[in-house]
Amino acid sequence: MKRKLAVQIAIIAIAVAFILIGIFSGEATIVLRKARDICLSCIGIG
Amino acid sequence: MKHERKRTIIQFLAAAFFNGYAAGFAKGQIFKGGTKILCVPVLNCYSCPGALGSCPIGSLQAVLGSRNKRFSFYVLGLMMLFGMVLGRLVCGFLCPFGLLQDLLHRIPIKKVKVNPKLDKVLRYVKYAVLLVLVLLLPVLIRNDFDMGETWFCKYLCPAGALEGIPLILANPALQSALGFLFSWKMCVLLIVLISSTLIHRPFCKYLCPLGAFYGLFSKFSLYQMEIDKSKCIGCGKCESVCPMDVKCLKDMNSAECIRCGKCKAQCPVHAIESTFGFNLKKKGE
Ligand code: SF4
Ligand code: SF4
Ligand code: SF4
Repeated sequence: MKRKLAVQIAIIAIAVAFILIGIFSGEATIVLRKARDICLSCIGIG
Repeated sequence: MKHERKRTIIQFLAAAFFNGYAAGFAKGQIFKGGTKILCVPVLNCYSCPGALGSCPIGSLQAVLGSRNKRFSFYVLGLMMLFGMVLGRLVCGFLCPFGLLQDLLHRIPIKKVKVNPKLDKVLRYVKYAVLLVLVLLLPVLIRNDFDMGETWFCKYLCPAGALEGIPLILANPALQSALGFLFSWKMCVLLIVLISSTLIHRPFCKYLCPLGAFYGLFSKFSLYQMEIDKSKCIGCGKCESVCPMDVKCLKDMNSAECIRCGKCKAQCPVHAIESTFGFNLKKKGE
């Protein structure tokens, strides 16, 4: 159980660290830019 | 209220919440607001006119395929967080494409039982889709501008094909651009929709890269299910109602379990429990 708790905490900590690194390296902006335009690949145009 | 009815209501509410920009359907336009900086936990195309957030699988490929990028901390971090907190509860209760497959399966026609050996092999296909189409190809195959394509979105994703239909219907400029790719994606969509009437959740079982990703967290997510062996009478009702054919008695936290709770609702002796949070109890306590 202790091992499982350690894994849970570690994964959550890594996830939060990833999110912060991603925000500061401009990835969130890429996501927003992509999502604000119609994705032609998604709807089958090109 | 019966468990399945409650679950269906929650699924509809979640679909409405993630696609809450109703004006988009009328105008034939997508939402352009700031909430799209966030990924939703479900497979919901950001090209759906109603979508208020971004699809995690589409966003992941978009970042991986961007100039100078080979990894996406932001999207993978969000996906890990969703996987750790909710796991595949997302699939059972929140995902609109899961809801659609559930509804189609209710059409009263003869159901098909997939050969168990074939089924076992096909279950691995979704991991290949995640690895190859979502994670590798956008990074490895680049154009002259150092950009990769969104391979899963472009060639396989039926959710994007479906959710793009209202946009195309309302937009003559898009209609004039339709070609082979559109026909291909419509074929994929049709195959998924038709097979959903015959098999329970075929896309979730065999193809969805998001379900595959969340499945990796099933043993560790904060939401867990457990069978109390001291109560279980071994009747097997749980396994017989499971839409994902999970062997609950052997592995209640299988990567294939979508946490729909049907087994729990069916158990005559209430031997199945679900817990949420950091489990600090020792086994048997
Ligand atoms: S497996 Fe994919 S499509 Fe199915 S419910 Fe989960 S996220 Fe949605
Ligand atoms: S094991 Fe239970 S909760 Fe999981 S998919 Fe099967 S019926 Fe649903
Ligand atoms: S339905 Fe309940 S009692 Fe029957 S086998 Fe499953 S867990 Fe045990």
